[in-house]
Amino acid sequence: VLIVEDAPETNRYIAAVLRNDYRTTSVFDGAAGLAQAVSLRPDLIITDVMMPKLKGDQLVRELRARPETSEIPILALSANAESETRVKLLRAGAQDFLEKPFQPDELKVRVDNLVAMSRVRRALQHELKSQGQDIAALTFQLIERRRDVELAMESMRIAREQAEQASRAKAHFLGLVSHELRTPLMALEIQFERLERNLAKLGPPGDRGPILVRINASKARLTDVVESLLGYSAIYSGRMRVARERFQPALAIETVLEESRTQAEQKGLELRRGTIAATIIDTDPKLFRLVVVNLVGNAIKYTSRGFVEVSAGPTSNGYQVTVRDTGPGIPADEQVRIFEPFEQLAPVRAKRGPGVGLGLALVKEIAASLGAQIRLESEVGTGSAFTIEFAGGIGQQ
Amino acid sequence: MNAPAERAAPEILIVEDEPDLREGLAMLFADEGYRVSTAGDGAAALARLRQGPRPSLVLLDLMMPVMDGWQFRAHQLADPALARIPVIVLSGVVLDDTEAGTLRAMAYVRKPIRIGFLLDLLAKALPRHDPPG
Repeated sequence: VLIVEDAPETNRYIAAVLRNDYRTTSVFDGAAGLAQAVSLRPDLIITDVMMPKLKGDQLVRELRARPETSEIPILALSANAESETRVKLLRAGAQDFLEKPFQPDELKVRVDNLVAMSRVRRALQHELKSQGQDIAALTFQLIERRRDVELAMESMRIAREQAEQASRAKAHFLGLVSHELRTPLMALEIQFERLERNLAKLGPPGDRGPILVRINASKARLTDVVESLLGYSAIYSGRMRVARERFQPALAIETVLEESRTQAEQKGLELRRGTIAATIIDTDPKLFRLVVVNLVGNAIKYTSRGFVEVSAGPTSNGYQVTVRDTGPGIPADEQVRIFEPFEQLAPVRAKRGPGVGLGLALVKEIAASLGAQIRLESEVGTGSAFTIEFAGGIGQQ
Repeated sequence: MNAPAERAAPEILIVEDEPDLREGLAMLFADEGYRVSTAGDGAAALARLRQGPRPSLVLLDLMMPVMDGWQFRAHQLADPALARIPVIVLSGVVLDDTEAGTLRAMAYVRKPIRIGFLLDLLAKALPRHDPPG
């Protein structure tokens, strides 16, 4: 470390602070500093600013102008702490600045940092040289590597695009198929309605009643599956539109309960009607129905004994529907994944057989487009309760 | 227009490209005592409106080949002789306010159709109809 400082006691003090870790050379004016810097090539130059013969800022400029000293770090010392002085020095090429009087620790730390930087820099330069004199070869190698990296990134981008495209194609295909299913289903619905009306004219339904109820429930389920797929496809392709209306959610829930009863009874489950408060809400009735249908359908599907209970009522800022079941429950670490499309808990799938596994994903997406909140409380071995809270409650009726 | 028209049941023109739905709705409405005519696309519906007796109401699908429901409605509204025939739109897509505004329909019924709801709507729109005795 070269110390350029005209005040002898300060010069000695600096040398003393650095003695344990550095070899130091002391000079007492700027001109001598420049000469020593050129001949010694120190790791660091510490220079005062106010000095005879050559002032600190001039010294810095001179050092920077010479190729042999241009890269040696410089720490400037000055009693004048005005920012103008600092800027002048730093602009001239000093790396760091220390104000007098200074603490020895601070001097030590700043010197350590600058020397370390300088050494790393030299080591890198040395490395660069020993890699072969031919910088062109190195450049070429770098270009090659960059090309490899770019190629890898490009392949990754293509792979990702293909995956996204496949997903879109899947959603699109589901949409097309569902659309094709919708027409014959609606035709079936119309003819069933005619049949019901014609039979009603003949008198009481008698034995035909339960048959009609079952056909109606199956037809409703089929329609709901098709509409769920269409909804999913619409959401996925960004074509989902919300049509808000005022309607009575309690009636919609009753309808879903009625249509799901057969399905629950076939599995020996009790489909319970909890408290369902009558009110009017302002949201999309078709999407509301799809949410309730999918939550109830899902609960029935995964519960093998006990009950599924639906309750609903107004909250402070809307209306909420809760579907509670006595199914297997969902472990905490699975509670996010079950809202992903086509995800089902593995053991449940093995036991229950196939299903599209779309219900909860659709519920989540519909909730998002309606601004509704979903909550899930679940305990393994006890059951689950899904609650969805719709904004847009209008009031008691 | 004709003297017996006052006593005859109202006529509904169903414009729908899917034969199953078109014929199904026609049978359903006939069961309910309406007179029914049908067209498979907007162009056929316009031709029907221009040549025959005017229906009391048009039930209009939107997505159809040849001439879709939007085009049909634009032609109909541009023709003073036909503009006043009310239209109920049947659609699988949700219409935004602008789209609904251009159609200027009396009502919009979403698919899948809730049949009870549609029949109630018709009964309100066509109050003079007498169910078959």
